Amino acid sequence: MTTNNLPQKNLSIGEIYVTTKAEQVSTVLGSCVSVCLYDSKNKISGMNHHVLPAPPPSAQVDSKHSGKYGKTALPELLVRMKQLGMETRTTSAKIFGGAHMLSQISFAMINERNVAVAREFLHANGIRIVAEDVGGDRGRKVIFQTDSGKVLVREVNKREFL
Amino acid sequence: MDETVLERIKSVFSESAELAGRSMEMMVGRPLSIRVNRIEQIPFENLCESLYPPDTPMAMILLRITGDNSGYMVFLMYEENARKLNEILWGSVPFEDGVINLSDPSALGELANVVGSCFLNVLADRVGLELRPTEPFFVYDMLAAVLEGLIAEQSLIADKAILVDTNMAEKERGIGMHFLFLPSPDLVENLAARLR
Repeated sequence: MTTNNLPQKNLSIGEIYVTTKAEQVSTVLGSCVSVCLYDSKNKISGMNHHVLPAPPPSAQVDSKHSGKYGKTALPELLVRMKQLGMETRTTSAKIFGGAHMLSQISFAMINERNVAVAREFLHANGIRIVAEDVGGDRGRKVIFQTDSGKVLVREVNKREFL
Repeated sequence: MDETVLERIKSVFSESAELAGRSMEMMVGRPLSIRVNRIEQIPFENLCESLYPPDTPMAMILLRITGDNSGYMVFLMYEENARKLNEILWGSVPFEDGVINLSDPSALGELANVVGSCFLNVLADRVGLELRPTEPFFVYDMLAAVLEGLIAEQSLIADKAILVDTNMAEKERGIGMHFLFLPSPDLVENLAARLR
């Protein structure tokens, strides 16, 4: 699904992406979480897709796998955006995902911890959260328009702009 | 898991598919067959891409494996195939105006229950373990949204899934269905040691 003629980028599980170009970055989320950052003054955008809140205590996380965990992915997303000239005071954040898709067979509350890690990180770094669409029990397709900061969220048979 | 073990799992699934086909036949009173087309191991990071685009709506039935070892089994198919399968099995259609009706997914759940139980029974006999499926859980949603939940939970302990492509046929009508087997590392270890 596309909403205009901007170049398309599909964000995979555990991927981090930053850009200064006008693009549509999309990903599909269940229990995973994406944070979309948009610096309205400098026109810099970034998005991640973390699978788990944090690595296991004993794990050594290399750069190839840092995007998988919220605790390592979000700092890296911020560093990469700052390298492009991002300013905190003109940057806002939107958080998506964290659904509990498999509530009847899975008791791991990974989804809630994925969202909590994102909120904690953004608060700790003074970045305003201007929208959230999290929780529930349905998957989401998230399409981030990097030239405006707008995000289209689509569930099966439902869609909305945030 | 090497090729020999994978081939043994394929033979277990073929045997159990035959048993499941016979059970379903008795239930619906018509000849049915379930054929295994291929089996392969797929790393979690390539799992969705190797099947369909991540936002593809799919009908999926999930069963957790409990007992001596753990894991998941997932049956997945296009909505259209789910509809056909229901017609073949029960002569009913759990869909309203082109949208799947989540209030009555029991027919597909029963199919998954029979096939999944047969697979686990044959596998458990071969390797000398006690393995049981939980109640089937039906979900209709985007492929990646569901699979990533399983990957998230399993990726702390495992890194690959086993994909079995099957075809269920009644007379000349054939319906493609994927079966995903996500064994925990202790189950992989037991399969590797005991299926040689």
